[in-house]
Amino acid sequence: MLRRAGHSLGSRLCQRQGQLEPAVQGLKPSFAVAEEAVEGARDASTLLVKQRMKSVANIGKITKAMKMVAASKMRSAQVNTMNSRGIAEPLLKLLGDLPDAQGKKNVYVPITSDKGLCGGINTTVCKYTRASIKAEDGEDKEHSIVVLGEKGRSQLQRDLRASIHSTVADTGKVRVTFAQAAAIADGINTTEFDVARLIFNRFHSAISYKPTIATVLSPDSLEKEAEAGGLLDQYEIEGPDRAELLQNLSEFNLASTLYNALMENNCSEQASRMAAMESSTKNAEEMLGKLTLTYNRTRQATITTELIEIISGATALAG
Amino acid sequence: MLRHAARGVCRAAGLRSVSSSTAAFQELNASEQSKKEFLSKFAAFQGTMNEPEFPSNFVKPVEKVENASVPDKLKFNFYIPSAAINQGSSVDLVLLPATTGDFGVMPGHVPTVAELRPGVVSVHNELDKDVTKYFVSGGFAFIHADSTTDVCAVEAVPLSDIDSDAVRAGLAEYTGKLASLQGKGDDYELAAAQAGVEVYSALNSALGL
Repeated sequence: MLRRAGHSLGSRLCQRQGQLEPAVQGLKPSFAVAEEAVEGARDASTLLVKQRMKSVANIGKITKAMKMVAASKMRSAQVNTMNSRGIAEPLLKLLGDLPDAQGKKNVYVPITSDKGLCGGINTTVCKYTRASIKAEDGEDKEHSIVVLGEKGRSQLQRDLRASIHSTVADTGKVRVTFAQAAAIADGINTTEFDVARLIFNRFHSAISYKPTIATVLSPDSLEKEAEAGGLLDQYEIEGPDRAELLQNLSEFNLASTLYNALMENNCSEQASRMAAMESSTKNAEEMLGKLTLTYNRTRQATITTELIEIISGATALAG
Repeated sequence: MLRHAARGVCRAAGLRSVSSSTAAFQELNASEQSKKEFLSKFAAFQGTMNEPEFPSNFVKPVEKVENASVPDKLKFNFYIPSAAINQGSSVDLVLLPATTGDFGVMPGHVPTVAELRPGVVSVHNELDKDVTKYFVSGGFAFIHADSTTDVCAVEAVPLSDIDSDAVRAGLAEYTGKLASLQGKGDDYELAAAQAGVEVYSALNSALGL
């Protein structure tokens, strides 16, 4: 942008020099050139400010549109999210919520968005993921990460690249469905985990989304917990034998918890984007106001200086 | 079903209810302990972050009931991923299609975990008077000691919403596919065809075709 300004300055200098008044031509050339340079610079600066004003106004329009889109998406996502909370609840009541479950293979599933401009939710999830990994790390324990969402991958691969098992992108592209969650759960199962921890933002309201850690145990870990006096022992089993039932139960638990987590995070993403775009629009409006003032000031200064020149020139001729 | 009811009646006499409500409390304690342990480990790396939340923080805890008698109505919850069809409804009887056979749940039923096969779930709000039938594609049913029944299904549709022509066509298609794949074709395709036949046969019999 500076280069362009210099260009226009140069071209103006070449233009103006041919039109210099015969009376003024007698003045020292350096003085004439300096004055021309200053006048050209003033015009250039109003042009600069005008360009900046146009671009800031455009940005304001774009962010306002993005905010409205995010608000409408959040409204429909909110309904679906509230509906999705039911299916994971009975499993939670039966199998318990055991974030400190000990196992050899720990898998962490941070759920993030693919697109940016959504505030700080992805950074939050990654921070909690890193802290959880460090908290639950141990002597004979392994950990691996299955990242959901491009933003999470780009953040975590900086220091945890070796631990990333796989990445899943485009989860929310069309619509989050249970079949999708089941397919992702199948992929997570290939890591043969003992304990899986899902880290996501749980939606509370349009301005509140809290990082939440949901734990899912493998069939073997469930068996261990049941033997240690868990609830499962008190129940009769109508179905396949205990081992197969625990396997199916664990897979179903993972799929439904993942489905709920995906919906919650999607809703939180829209809410966060709405808030981020709102503050962006406000900033753009503020900046536009300040630039308008600068523009007017510059414009008025140019006019005043021209008037002074004319008047002083006329006075010099008269006197 | 009679065997279950008899067992339920025998068990309902006093002792079971105390031990199982304490067991539910036990599970709650295990969860609380685990959460506390985790948070204490997390604190070392917390920095300026807030404490993380856990899903069980948002679920109403099971109240400890001392010496509860058998309630007259069943508390019924019916969930699918996209909705909660029933939440806390009081019903008389629920018929469930388990993989080991159909069975009915009335208040006082033995605590059970049942895996469901594709079939019909009948909800009797009033015994034999107000009945709603749903076809479920599969899932789980949990009957707790305090006569709360949770059914989690992957898909559930009211029987009235099912098109009999589509069912007939689907059954014919999958039976044909299974027949042509016998012996050849990879395991996945075979399993998919078998699942298709199972679901469509169940739909067929559910509609009485």
